[in-house]
Amino acid sequence: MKIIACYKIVPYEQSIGIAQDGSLNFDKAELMIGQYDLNAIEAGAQLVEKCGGELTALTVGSQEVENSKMRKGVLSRGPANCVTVCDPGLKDADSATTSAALAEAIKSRGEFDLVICGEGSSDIYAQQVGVQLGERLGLPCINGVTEITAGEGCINVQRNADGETETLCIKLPAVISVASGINVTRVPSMKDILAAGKKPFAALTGADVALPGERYTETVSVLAPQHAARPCKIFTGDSEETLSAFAAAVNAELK
Amino acid sequence: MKLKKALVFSSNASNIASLCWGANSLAQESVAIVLGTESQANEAAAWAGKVLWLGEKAQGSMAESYTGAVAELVKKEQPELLLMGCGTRDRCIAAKLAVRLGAGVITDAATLEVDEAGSVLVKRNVFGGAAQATVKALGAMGIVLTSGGFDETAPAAAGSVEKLDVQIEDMGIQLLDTSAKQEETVDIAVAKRIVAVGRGLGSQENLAAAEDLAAKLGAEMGCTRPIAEEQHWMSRSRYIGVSGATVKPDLYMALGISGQVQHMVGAKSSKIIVAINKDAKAPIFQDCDIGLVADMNKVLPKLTQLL
Ligand SMILES: Cc1cc2nc3c(=O)[nH]c(=O)nc-3n(C[C@H](O)[C@H](O)[C@H](O)COP(=O)(O)OP(=O)(O)OC[C@H]3O[C@@H](n4cnc5c(N)ncnc54)[C@H](O)[C@@H]3O)c2cc1C
Repeated sequence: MKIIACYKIVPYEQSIGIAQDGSLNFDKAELMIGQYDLNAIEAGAQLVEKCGGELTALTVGSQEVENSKMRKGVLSRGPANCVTVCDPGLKDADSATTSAALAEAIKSRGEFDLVICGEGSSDIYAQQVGVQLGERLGLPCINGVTEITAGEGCINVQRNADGETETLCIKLPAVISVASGINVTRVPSMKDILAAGKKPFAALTGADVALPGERYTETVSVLAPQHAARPCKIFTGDSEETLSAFAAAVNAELK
Repeated sequence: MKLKKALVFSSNASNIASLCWGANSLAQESVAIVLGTESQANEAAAWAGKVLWLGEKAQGSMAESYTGAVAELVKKEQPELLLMGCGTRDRCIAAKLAVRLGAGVITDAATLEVDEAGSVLVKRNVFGGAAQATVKALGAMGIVLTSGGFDETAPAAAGSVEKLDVQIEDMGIQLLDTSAKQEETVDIAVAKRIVAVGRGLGSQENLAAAEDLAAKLGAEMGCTRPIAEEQHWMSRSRYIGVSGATVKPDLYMALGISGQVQHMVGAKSSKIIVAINKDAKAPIFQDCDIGLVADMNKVLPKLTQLL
């Protein structure tokens, strides 16, 4: 099976700076692979390991997508190769823009059987891109997939939707987004990380892929809420004395 | 300012009333599309100016295959806003509608308002709840997904029900089997004391010691998302955070929880936060009242005696 797993490079929330007025500062923000996109990559890697074929990882965005540490991080988790589409016009893209750019990138790459997306991006988490992408490609598409088994010209999946469990047969090619519980993602070994550095990748730009012009939403402001600091009285250790002191402090609050 | 017309749809007919309340507060005219029983359609007429009833979902079909029918109605009604729920199915249908109708989707709306220029403005969490974004829908119509929370509002005029004959579409997907999942549902939002566990638990067997402590304190058990969604050691209704429950107990005791924003956002209104984590550098130690750096599985039995 020829599989494409889509992912997004996002800032690690805990490292985003917050100014006095609540505005966000990304100067020192560390990058990471979207937490739930790792499930998509893992699902693709497991399918290929079981049924053969090839897994390609694909991302679209602005300059963060070309970060080599991130690309290696992705390639160390199973994909045979990686495609990045970098364009300043994709900065702060919403789900419509992202899915349209992914659709164009996929169309430019030729045949495939299955596209797997994560449940939602770590930063916006609208949970829209997978199905919007499928719809743009005019293919069968569904969200909430919790299990995938390859069949003849189709995949059989389990899906969780609003308290119901469904068994579906989806005709290929198709686009699915997987629920975060579908798998436990691998921790790459040193060997995987070294091998990742030698895997092929294609760094494309807006010149290679037709990017969408129209935007359907506009982010007017992004602000952090006011945060009341807590006292953080910390005890350390598990000696009888420490536990008694800790328990006394908690008990005093419970009264 | 008010919009001229808002349309309401959810694959889950029990969401319709609350979505209609939202539509009535935002628009002069509200129209509800109902996929459900006749009594559900009639009920919706109490809240919407007009009900377009698609009938009951056909045997063996998925709600998602009514997307085309909904798209046709949206084109005919030409609302400025389509309000939907936040379930998995509504998200799927909204994504399909967005592409077919050339509309923007804004999900998980915490609040919605119409500005002076008649644009829909939505506030929603971003970066796992570390910040809140205000997002504007552009174009002729915006699709907004919300889990409700609107005050009860009646439509300008009592509604009528119009029964429609609609086609379901072939999605290239065959529904082979469906079953309702059996899972307990707990309203953890009302708990006065909560003992919550995270991945530091290590194994399901270690749950017992945490449950003993909870019993001693008269506390409800809660957890982080991975404990519910990945390990399945506790039910989904017990996980706390930006994509789970929001709680406001007097005591929140976090055991083996790292304290990532996505989780803490759901617990930040707790009066007292107590944390036990073996890593002194865990972010939760910067966001708690009292902390203990120790192995939870080692200290719990003793603490249950002491607390
Ligand atoms: C879009 C999005 C939405 C999310 N929504 C939510 C949400 O609603 N709720 C939620 O909880 N998460 C949510 N998450 C996930 C969140 O980012 C974290 O991954 C999650 O909260 C971490 O759970 P944890 O603290 O149990 O696990 P970890 O982060 O793995 O932390 C485990 C902790 O246990 C400690 N530990 C290990 N062993 C022991 C021991 N023996 N004794 C004591 N301590 C020990 C470790 O030091 C560590 O700090 C979301 C993520 C995303 C991307």
